[in-house]
Amino acid sequence: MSTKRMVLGFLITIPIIALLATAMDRDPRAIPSPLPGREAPSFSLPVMLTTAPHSVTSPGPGEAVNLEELRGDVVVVNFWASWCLSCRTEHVPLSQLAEQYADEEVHFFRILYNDRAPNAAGLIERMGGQSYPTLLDTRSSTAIQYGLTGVPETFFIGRDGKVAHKQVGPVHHDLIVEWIERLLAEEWSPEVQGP
Amino acid sequence: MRSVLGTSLSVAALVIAVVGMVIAVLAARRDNDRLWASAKWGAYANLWIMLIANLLMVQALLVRDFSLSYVAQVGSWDTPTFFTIISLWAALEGSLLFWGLITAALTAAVVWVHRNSEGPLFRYALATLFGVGVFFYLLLVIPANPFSPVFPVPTDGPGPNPLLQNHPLMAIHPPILYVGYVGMMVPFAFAIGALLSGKLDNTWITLTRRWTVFAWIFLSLGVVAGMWWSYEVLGWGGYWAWDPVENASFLPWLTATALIHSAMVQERRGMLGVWNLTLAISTFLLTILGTFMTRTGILSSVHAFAEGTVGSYFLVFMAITLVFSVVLLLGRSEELKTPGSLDSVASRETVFLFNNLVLIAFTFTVLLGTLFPLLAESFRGVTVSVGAPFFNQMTLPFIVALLFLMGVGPALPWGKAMKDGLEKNFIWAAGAMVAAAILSILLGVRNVYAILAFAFAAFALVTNVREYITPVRARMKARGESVGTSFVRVVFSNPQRYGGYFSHLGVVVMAVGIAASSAMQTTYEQTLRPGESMQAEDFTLRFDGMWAQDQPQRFSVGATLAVTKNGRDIGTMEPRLNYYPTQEDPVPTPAVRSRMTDLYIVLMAFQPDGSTATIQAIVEPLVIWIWIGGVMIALGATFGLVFGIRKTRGDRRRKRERTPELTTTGERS
Amino acid sequence: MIQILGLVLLLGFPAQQVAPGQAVVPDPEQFEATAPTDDPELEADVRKLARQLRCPTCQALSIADSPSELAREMEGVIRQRLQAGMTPEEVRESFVASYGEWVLLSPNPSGFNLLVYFLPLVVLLIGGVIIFVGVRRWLLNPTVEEAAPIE
Repeated sequence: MSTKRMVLGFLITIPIIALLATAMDRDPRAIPSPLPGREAPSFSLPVMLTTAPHSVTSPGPGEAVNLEELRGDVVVVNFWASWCLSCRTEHVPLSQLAEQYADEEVHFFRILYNDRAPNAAGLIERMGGQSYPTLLDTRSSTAIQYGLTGVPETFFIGRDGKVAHKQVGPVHHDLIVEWIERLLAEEWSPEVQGP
Repeated sequence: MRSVLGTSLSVAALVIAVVGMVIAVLAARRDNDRLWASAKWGAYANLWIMLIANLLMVQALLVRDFSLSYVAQVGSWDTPTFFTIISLWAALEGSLLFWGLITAALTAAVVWVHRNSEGPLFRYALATLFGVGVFFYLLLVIPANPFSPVFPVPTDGPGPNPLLQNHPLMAIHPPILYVGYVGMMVPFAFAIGALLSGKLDNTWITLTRRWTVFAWIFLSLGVVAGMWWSYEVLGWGGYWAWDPVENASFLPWLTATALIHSAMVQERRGMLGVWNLTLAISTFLLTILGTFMTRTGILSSVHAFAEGTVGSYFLVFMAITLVFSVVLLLGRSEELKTPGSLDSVASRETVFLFNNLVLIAFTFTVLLGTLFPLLAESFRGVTVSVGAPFFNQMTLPFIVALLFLMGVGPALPWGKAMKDGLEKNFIWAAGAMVAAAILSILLGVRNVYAILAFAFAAFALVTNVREYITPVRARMKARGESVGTSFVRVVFSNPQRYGGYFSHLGVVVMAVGIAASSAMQTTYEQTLRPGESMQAEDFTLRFDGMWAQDQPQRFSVGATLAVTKNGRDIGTMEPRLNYYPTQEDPVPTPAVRSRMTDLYIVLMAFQPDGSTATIQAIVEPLVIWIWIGGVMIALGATFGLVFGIRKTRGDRRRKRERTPELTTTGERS
Repeated sequence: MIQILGLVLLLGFPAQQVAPGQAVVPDPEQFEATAPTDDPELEADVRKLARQLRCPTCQALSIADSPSELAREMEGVIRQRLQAGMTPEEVRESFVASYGEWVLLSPNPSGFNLLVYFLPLVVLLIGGVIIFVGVRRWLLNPTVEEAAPIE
């Protein structure tokens, strides 16, 4: 057989194999989010439940939380549901860190997704309360704005109001600290960067 | 114990396949009959080994031997016996084990059917079959051993995937599809045999034509059963979502259909040799690609199994097969050049050329669309989706073109077309076409493709039915027989030909079903309180309340609806939502009433206190034609296959008994 | 899996029953809000858009076809945005902004994506030319002889 033919044969076949090979370490269920680097979708949602002491930074039940009013601070938004098992593993680190950062320019919120308020309230009680508010997202409209594909998902929003990171699946202590520290360290002034 | 026994069986099958492959190659090269005889025994031995291994697994599933990884993965005490047995193919390892059985069975069947065949072509073909076997048994031994032990042994398992235990169709859909898939290795093996042995004439195609049809029948049934399962289980009122795995089963079907048609051209005129080899090889590669996609989940799909390390094995196997076949084909291409000849442009040969062109462009479109997300990710770094709207838009022209060609082909004779005959052939068909188009517009169809589909379906219907009427009439006149007798005589005089036309009629019926159900379906959705009713075309649905049922493996919530059609009571229908402990989203069970027009009811949502239910009712005409058409396609081909074989045997026997001049020389197609 | 426990309990109890809890805002009237309206034109637009957008939890189906909860909510959001005066194109873009191009079931026909629309045509054309050339050449060869009968 001629070498020319051989080369031709490989030229046809190798790209196909290479293409399929690139697919091997692809997770088809991972849907890359366009949000990181972009302005976080604004929301104004009522607080369903909080066991934190009532203060300016932690609104009480029924009050609305408006993301835009928190510009200049770091915001951690976690979507969860009481039926979601892996959300339970996040409960302790999130609650602990929310308490730890209570005096700094950091806000923690959980947004209830596709769940009934009583179920969520019952679970929070059973897990020993929660040091930051859970918000109610009627008709999942905020979840959809955030491109939610399931729970848990966590968004880290910087002082500039932009999404810095989206975590799909449960967050753990070190990851939360890492992102908060990084975002707290960023410079931001409202005069220069506008509203 | 079972673990050791099961694993040894897989190892034994692997060793026999490797040795068998080597021996078969040696037998071919040295023309050694003793080696050849032992290779054949290897094929039979593997059938028994795989059969025992599969039975062992079924037994382990039944006694819930959770010490085996596969049982621990798909078994549970709560799963009913029926679904426990069929969970043999509910996950990766078990389905590969079952796949191994089918591979072994078909290899043995090929050896048995061709036990009297001689020559290196067949020996190389068997070596190729063993080679395919080596791959699958290797998977069973190393990356996907269903018999691997687990420790500590769990006391219970999660049970099979909820989607797979929701409908009894899961009992027949995968086995049928697997036989179709695996069956395509036979034409491939013979094509490789032809290339390796240098016997490049029509032998391989004559030897494998029936195997191709056999596998094609199962593939067709598998695809249709998949559509039916999708319709009955997934709860969206459709039957084809252009999901990657659905596409994976459709791709080899398209190329195999092309092969069945172009093989006829090669048998008649000795041309298209390279093309047919390419088709046989491509079909096999597409089945492997399909398995790769299903079993590794590189493209997400409702049907995909959990991913594992199996993917890289598939990749290597595909690479080897692809490179080997392409190099072999290119190496022989000089010898394969045969001068083609045609007598007329308006001949059946030309129609077959166009049929192949459309089928291949169709295949390419579906393949490109399916793999495009990978391409876009590699070149643009952006994840895109290619789904139903794209495929519908791109493939409808192909479907309409195929319907048209299916109408033209049978009306044109092989070789030269006679002018006056032609006009007569087409005038009725053209009339029917126009009538169907006008009628569908009058009935309110506005979708251009649907109108075209109805028109060309009518056209193909008439030309294909005429193929029965003309010879039956001629025979009635010549012999004075009744309609029935002469029909039976004509049909049995050439089973392949008339079976083929019947398959064409099946395609017509199916096409009408698809066009009507997608263009004329209407969806109604309403939130009802108990006692309230909703209207869906002629149907009135009264919501009578919610109920809940706790089963061992799941929790179901249903809505009871009293349904009347034009005021006449037609019973209650109960769409359900099933909640499985392992699944976040509920799995719906739609309530379907199949008549000429289907009523398809889905429970979309409900208030937990039972105060409201959101009901979706889809009214779809002629869905049932799709299933009928599918059965007709398979029946026609099966008739041709079974009676074709009997006729050949009969002819051969008569040939031996009588003098050679008296052999039948009926026209074939 | 939502609220299975709640379901078991509540289906047997009067409708007003709510689990004991402090400071709990009552359930939103979810289903009323997302339920279809009587406006056929609006509903046709909703349906058309929903068919083009991919359901994130079910992978292969469109929002219109999926019975999953998220898909139902997304259909509700489409309706809401259309009612709020957004054009269908703007609604589409708003979903792309949240979910990325992934959410579109037919890729945007521009740039690299054009390949998926035009390569099939190229294949069809090349095949057509091959057949045309082949048929012309083969017509010059008169029938050699009928190949040997099959079987």
